[in-house]
Amino acid sequence: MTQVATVFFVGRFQPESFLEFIRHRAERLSLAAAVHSAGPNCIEVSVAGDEELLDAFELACSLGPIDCLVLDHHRVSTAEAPERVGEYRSGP
Amino acid sequence: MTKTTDIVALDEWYAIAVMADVGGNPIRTRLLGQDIIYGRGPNDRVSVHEVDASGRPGAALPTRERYNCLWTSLGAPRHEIFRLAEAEEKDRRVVVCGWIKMRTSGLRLVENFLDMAHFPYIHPNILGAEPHTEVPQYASEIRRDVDEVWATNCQFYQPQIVANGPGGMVQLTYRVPSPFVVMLYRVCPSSPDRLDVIMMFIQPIEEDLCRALPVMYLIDDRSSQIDLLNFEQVIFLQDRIIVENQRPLLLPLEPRSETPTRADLSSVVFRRWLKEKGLRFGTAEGGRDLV
Ligand SMILES: [Fe+2]
Repeated sequence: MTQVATVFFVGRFQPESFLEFIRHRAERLSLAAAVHSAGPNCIEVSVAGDEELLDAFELACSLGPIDCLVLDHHRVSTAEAPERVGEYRSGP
Repeated sequence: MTKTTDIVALDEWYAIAVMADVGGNPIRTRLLGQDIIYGRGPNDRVSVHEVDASGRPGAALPTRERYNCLWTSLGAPRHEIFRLAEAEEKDRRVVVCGWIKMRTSGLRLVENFLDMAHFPYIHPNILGAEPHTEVPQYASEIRRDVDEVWATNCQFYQPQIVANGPGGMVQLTYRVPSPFVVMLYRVCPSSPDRLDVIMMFIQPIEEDLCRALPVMYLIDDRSSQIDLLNFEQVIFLQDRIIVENQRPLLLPLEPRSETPTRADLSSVVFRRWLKEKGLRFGTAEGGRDLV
């Protein structure tokens, strides 16, 4: 079942590197993803897809690229589809 | 290889010998790329030394005797060896298995120990059995107050919980008190209010070579020693085949080419913890700068 959620990552980021990782992972899992905000300590991203795939997305991103460190992460279900979904849309 | 420069790895404690094997004849082994020598001197005093470039004993290293093993460190440990409350219970049966040497990173071994999904495939009819292949959801976290990784609420169907015993759902708790020590607490089949403890101490010899020692603190007065030893031996030899065939042998801290699922939560949390600690020894990113 398709779900829409916002995932928050807190930690120490090279935002460009983390966003590239997010894009790569969303594409691999065929998820639609849109980044809401990206700073050195917090990254917020909307994703839509099957719950299992959202789990896999959050899990992989919780480790992330080698130059970023995620200290905490959580996911909130949202009713809205990701805005600016076109930006990082992938899959069918 | 030569002694690692990884401070985080150097500052940890490592089990390097079973106490019963520490005698008057000095024995040479290797830890983190550094040759060391240990033995019992006059007055029964146990010592561990680095072996210098000329092959002679060099600097004396700190030692501890804990859990039937001799422990040492090449650095300056910032904490004591982890405490295991169960080891203080007098009615426990201590089973010290034999060392098993494996061509892989010790961290891969920890990861394998934490993984339940492989039970039915790698340990069929012992720790798992098809069609019971699902890993029910569990929790895993870095406990920052004690700086350990724990996985709780783990359950799995096991066809043989103890040597020659019946099958059923087992309740497991995993604990990683230091990067090269991993253990599990298992609800004891013969007294359900207590937990059996199965630990694995890893001596990282080189980045991609280690040896592991299973040590168990059990509530079990029925099984024969030989049955218990054989049971562990069979399991670890099965694990050796898969860990030695994993590529890369070193543990990747970045899941670039992998697709972890919920069942891999422990592995992801373990890697995140290593990354946070800044450990490089035995990781695929060893040569690269960490955060
Ligand atoms: Fe195994």
